[in-house]
Amino acid sequence: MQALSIYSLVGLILLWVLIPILYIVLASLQPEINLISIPLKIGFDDFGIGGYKDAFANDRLMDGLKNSAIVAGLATLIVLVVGLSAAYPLMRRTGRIRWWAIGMLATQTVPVITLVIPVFIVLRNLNLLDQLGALSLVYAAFLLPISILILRNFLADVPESLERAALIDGCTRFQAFRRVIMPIAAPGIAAVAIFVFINSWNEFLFALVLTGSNQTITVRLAELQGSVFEGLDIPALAAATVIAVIPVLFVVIALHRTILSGIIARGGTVRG
Amino acid sequence: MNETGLQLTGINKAYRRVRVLEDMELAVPEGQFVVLLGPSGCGKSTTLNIIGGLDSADAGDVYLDGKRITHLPPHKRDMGMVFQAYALYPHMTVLENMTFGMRIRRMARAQATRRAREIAELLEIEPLLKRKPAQLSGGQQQRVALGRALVRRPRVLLMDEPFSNLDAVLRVRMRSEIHRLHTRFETTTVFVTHDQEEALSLADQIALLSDGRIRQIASPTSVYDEPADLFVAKFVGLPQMNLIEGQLEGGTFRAGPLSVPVAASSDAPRNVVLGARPEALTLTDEPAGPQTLAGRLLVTETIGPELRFEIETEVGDVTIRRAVQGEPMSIGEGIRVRWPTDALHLFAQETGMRIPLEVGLRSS
Ligand SMILES: Nc1ncnc2c1ncn2[C@@H]1O[C@H](COP(=O)(O)OP(=O)(O)O)[C@@H](O)[C@H]1O
Ligand SMILES: [Mg+2]
Repeated sequence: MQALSIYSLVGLILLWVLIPILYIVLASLQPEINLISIPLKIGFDDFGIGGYKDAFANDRLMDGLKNSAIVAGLATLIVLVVGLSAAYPLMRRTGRIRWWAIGMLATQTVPVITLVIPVFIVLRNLNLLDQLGALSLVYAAFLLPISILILRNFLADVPESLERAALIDGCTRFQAFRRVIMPIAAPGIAAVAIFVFINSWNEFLFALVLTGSNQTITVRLAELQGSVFEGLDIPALAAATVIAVIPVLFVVIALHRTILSGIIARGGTVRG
Repeated sequence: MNETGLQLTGINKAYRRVRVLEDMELAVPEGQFVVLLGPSGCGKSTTLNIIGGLDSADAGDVYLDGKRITHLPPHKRDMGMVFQAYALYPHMTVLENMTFGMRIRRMARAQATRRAREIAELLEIEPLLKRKPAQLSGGQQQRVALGRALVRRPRVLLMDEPFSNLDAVLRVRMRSEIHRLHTRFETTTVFVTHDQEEALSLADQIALLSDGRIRQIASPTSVYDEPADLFVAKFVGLPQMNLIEGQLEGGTFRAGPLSVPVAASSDAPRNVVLGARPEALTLTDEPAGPQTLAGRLLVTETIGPELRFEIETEVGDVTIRRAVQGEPMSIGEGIRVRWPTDALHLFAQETGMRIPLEVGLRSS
């Protein structure tokens, strides 16, 4: 009985989350006439992939996807490299008051919106506007503090005795990190990678302000929405939205096994 | 420093304000099995970590074959280590765990695998080579950890309470296994334990560590028969050695009604402690004399073939141990304890140091 009510609750929440996505997916497969008729008509009998054809034919959209992939990929790479380098020296720090953690959390209290103009000015002065690399640096900077804390905790979960065993076995400190600590902390590292990738992929405000010709998919989607009334079809817009979600889905699917396998291995010996 | 084997000289180590090791000296001759024995928290693991290069001493040096290795990182020391919690790599199979150290040192895969198989066969863990550590029992993990340490044929083998997570039966079996392996490989070994039985049964030499110093380093029989000081006398031997404070007067030890002749040299201090192992004391029916002590039976305990008595006497409680025989005695019964003239130990009250007794009056 209790299980039943929990499942219904989960079901309700899922429905709540999924309805907009479901609506977009359905809309992307309708002929446009259905979507602009009143009352709204969504049926299963006249599915078509016309929307996708239009979306894939749109060069600005495809270019946006590519730019997003570059920016999100770079940001993820930077956060992992810098984040792990920073997390490593912090991993054995277990004092009661962790000033480094407080410091990093403090950075998160600044409302991001207040940083848009300053960051714009800095990048303009550095001549780095409209550069995908610069945008990824900005994302990395925003996501690093929290990522470092998360990575640090995952690394700290790896028992010190394993690092010691690796050192005795002949590893340098770096090899011990690379060959023993990192693989065992892989689930956490994968989780952080997903976190950074999704956040960078979905970011809109900074992407809009800091880029001009090299816009990311979120900006191009917004642009598409703006042009709906100038004749672009709604199914194409819906299809473009679906397409924009797919890369993120791929990343999640690619990394979810790492996360799960780690959880299983951990249940065995690492904790024991 | 031109001996072979391992030497620690003048090692000092403190954590914040806690002094763990103070001017510690330890020599482990080539091929020997030395057990570092001491109570929990006395610095055994710290010593082992300093030897392995996992921790650094505040002062002092570590030498291997006469070469100073104090500042060498662990990966350049060529030592093997077995950890208390095994510390097997959970993401690798048993085979990978065992070959890891050799592969890191760039040994060819085929050769590393062949060596791992040899050791696995020796340790009877061959059927487990493809498993992950999570799929092994504690005893199996222990064997793998041992195999991982041995397979590289390290110059020195370090073991930090490797059996403390095993049940009693397995512990005794692993003990004889270690013994067999040491006889075969003759690797210079430092084995850490707080379990005296383990130490007595395994060691070529026992090094007793307490208060940051090695109190005695000697063979198990010497440590048992000639403890260097009161700490060693109390720490080694179960049940504990009987110790009675008293005075030395002209070749006789006196405490209350007890007087026992002891062959101490004339410059021995006056205030001393007389020690006798529980198996050296006997119960007697003889009438009271200077070497007997009247008492009352407090507790009897039968442990397998062995009987233990706790007896309350005028100079303190004493313990006697002997084979089970004769009529059972009842608690509270009046009883007399006879002190021997040999197999006695004498310590100075002030310093706790052993006072040597003349040969001839001491049995071995
Ligand atoms: N990293 C450390 N920081 C602070 N104190 C420590 C640390 N490691 C050990 N100690 C202290 O040093 C003493 C000796 O520890 P250890 O060598 O582990 O003892 P043992 O192995 O003999 O039980 C203990 O009192 C312990 O609390
Ligand atoms: Mg210890």
